[in-house]
Amino acid sequence: MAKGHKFGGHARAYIKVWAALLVLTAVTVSVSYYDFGDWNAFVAMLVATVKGVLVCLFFMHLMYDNRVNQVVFISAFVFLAIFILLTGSDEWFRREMKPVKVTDTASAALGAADMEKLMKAAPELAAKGKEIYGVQCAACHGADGKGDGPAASALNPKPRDFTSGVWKLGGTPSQVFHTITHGSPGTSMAGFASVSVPDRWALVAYLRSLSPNKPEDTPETLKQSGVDKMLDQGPGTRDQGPKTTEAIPVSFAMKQYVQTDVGVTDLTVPPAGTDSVSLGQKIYQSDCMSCHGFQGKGGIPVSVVGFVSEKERATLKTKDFAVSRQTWTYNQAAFIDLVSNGLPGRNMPGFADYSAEEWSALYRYVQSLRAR
Amino acid sequence: MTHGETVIAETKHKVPHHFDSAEQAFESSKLGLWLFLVTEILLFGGLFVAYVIFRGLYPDLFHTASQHLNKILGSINTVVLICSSLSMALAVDRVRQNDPNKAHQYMLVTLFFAACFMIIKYVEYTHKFHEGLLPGGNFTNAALAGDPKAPLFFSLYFMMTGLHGIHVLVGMGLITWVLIRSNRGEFSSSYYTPVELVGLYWHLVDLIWIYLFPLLYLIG
Ligand code: HEC
Ligand code: HEC
Repeated sequence: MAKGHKFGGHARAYIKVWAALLVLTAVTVSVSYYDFGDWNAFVAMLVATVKGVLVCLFFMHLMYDNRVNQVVFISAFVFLAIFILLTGSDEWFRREMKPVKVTDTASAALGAADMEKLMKAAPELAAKGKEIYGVQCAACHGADGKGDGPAASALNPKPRDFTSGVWKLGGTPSQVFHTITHGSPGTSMAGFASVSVPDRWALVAYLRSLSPNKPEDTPETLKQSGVDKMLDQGPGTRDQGPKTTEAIPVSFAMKQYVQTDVGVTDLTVPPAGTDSVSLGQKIYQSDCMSCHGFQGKGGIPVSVVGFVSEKERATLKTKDFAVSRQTWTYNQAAFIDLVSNGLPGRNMPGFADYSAEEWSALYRYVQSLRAR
Repeated sequence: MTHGETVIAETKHKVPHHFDSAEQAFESSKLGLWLFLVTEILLFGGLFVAYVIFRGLYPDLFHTASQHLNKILGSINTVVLICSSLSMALAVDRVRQNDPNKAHQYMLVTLFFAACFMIIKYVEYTHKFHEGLLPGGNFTNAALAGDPKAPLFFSLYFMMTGLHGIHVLVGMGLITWVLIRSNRGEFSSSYYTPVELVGLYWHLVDLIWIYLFPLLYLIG
């Protein structure tokens, strides 16, 4: 063969290789009609590689070529492998980071009649409320509602002590419901609209059971808190239709507060002029503040959203919005793109559930934080 | 180093004076071409990496989007390219055997298959254009509209097959060039470097398609 390759004529060998290539093509194509799951890619790549090797060895007669050419050509594939492995390792070794999906289906089918029933704070609701409270609220308000949760020390104003009987925003069922839904603007009491409506009523029942001061609703308070609309027209506007929202579990947000080394001042000192609360600010405080701070100054360590062990905690800290030079700082579309997709590699979750109006309000608010 | 302008028997080709022998000149040219082929593989390598990363990130998208490619046409094109590789290999073989007439026929056959490949590509592309399966912001397909990342697959599809298509066109040009030179009787068993190198280039084009085809059409 060694001599033959020069002048011997290879026609016969070429035709054999050609036939083999055709057979292999038929094999991959027909195999692709069956589903072998993860093996599909493997089988296809294996066959492609056999075909490729045939082409290289015989059509390109690398088999008879001198050693230098062989090494040179094979080096291409070595470099390619390094290229793919190094780039791929960035992706393959990222940790799974998905925002928690909260499906608010429970509230969807609520009619006015159900709403009335829920409002009549039955004691069994209070028991359920206590469970939810333990998960969502105790970190700030304390296990017994005394406003002394582990995160409380970092907060100003302090979380409400429910046993004191003080209600800043009103203590009637509808008012407390309104507070839980929308939060107390300008404080770290965020709105919990992502908690289903029955669960929110259960929380109302539980909180009121703790308080020595339990005022009852009057038509005025109902109107003021907007609950009257829910009673008359079924589900409230915020709770229409089953909708899946992506929410940060409060237990996670709390971990941000108890990290004492940084960001605490930013978290606890609201920016000046927060009396009139804009839509953008509202969204910011409920969805973004836990990681970016009141004033967007960042510096807050962010761990993975979801259920991961202490060990897996990332040491990543958010940056000051003001120092960013990214496209989002002057382009709203880029901002929406960034925030709705999140930064999976850097533990920024995606938020996709805003209306156009909410997006532009949020955009303007974040820009105003940059200017501060 | 004394050959200077050795004239090789049977052809008018002169061995350039910086080479010792025709053999050395041939091997040097070939090494140069192999190095060029390495850069070609790395050029496509960038696209393959992009493919691997995005496929890893959005496996479902790649699955649904690849169903919009025509497996049958893709398979036909694979067969066409394999046949063209065979005819090119035979053409080089015939030149080496001092059989120019047969060699010309094989080169014409290769050109014919290459043209078939491009025509089928044209049919596929027009179909994609028609369905709005276009890269990036030009994407208007309704069936995949629900997936904001769908244009990504087609960006990759057009980049990869487009770059490959350009290689096919360049290859056709090169084959035409050696065909013309061969017609002028410039090649024989003692000098056929350009034919050999164009042949290698053409097989590389086939080799790349051998990977593109399953990646894009088969394992979505
Ligand atoms: C991030 C810490 C934090 C979490 C978590 C939290 N709260 Fe609060 N909450 C506060 C702070 C701070 C205040 C005081 C706000 C103020 O003074 O305006 C407050 C006040 C309140 C008030 C009193 C409003 C008033 O009228 O005085 C209610 C009711 C309340 N929270 C309910 C809840 C419920 C229910 C949950 C769980 C779903 C919860 N909070 C989770 C921090 C928190
Ligand atoms: C779970 C924590 C978390 C939440 C909640 C969060 N982010 Fe982020 N965000 C991050 C992290 C982590 C980064 C990346 C840190 C970095 O590199 O600056 C980031 C980065 C950003 C950036 C880019 C910053 C830059 O330097 O270019 C913007 C803009 C942003 N977030 C906006 C928002 C908005 C708006 C919201 C609310 C809708 C929000 N984020 C909610 C964690 C969060």
